[in-house]
Amino acid sequence: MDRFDWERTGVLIIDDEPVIQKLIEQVLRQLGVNRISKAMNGVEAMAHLKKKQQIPDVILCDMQMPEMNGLEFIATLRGLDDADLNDIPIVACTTVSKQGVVKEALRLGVNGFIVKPFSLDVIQDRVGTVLETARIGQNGLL
Amino acid sequence: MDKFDWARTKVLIVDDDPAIAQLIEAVLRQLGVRLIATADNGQDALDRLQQKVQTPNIIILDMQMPVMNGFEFITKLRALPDADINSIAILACTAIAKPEVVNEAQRLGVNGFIVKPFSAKSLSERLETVLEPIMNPAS
Repeated sequence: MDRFDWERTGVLIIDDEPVIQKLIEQVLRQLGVNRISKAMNGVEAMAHLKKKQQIPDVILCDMQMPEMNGLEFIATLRGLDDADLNDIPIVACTTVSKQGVVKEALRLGVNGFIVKPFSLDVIQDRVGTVLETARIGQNGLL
Repeated sequence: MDKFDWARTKVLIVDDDPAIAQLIEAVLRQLGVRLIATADNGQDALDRLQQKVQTPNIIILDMQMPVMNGFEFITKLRALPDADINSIAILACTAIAKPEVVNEAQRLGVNGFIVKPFSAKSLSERLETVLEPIMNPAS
């Protein structure tokens, strides 16, 4: 009973932990997503996005990373002039102990949270809700 | 199977149409939300927020309103120096599902979008998507 086609959905996973990356990727593949790209930190993610080879429909972004952390990444992305990139929906992966991070992410325009430790259905719920919304932005339909 | 306590969740509804505000309020009450405030437009909402009587965890914001519309409201709220207020989650509500409306709101720092008319289920899903970490403060 999914509300959109997971197979057409592109997802960018940004996480410095290969184990978490793999876990999220497995969940997404189970849902039918096969357009998955990955980055280890915000710097790598920005470089990937700017190539525009495969602009994702949603970005799953860890908040605690070296190089460029999640908040810096969100601020950088939302601050770009390029309208193809600056409004990509972002779901932030975080822990509840980081209230300061959560608030700042909201101010910067994050679209949802996956709270760690997360269950598999939470990824489906959160990504699904955000993507359903994003379709309005793409084609004016819900 | 709720992930947090709706009874502790504070919501501000900003909508110039009393019928819509009442409808949203009815859905919220079904979920168990009791701390609900309403405002008629963006200016009214900003005045209310700055009094800090009951700072909401989330604002459900109509985008098309007189006096101060949703876009102006988001811009002003996010630019306030007060960190308690400038980071409040915003769910934008619109009858106009146009890409330019969604994209501009996104750029200004909105956290979710819902298109009128909407179901109780989709409203609660969208609220949960942003509220979970806010409503589960670390012990």
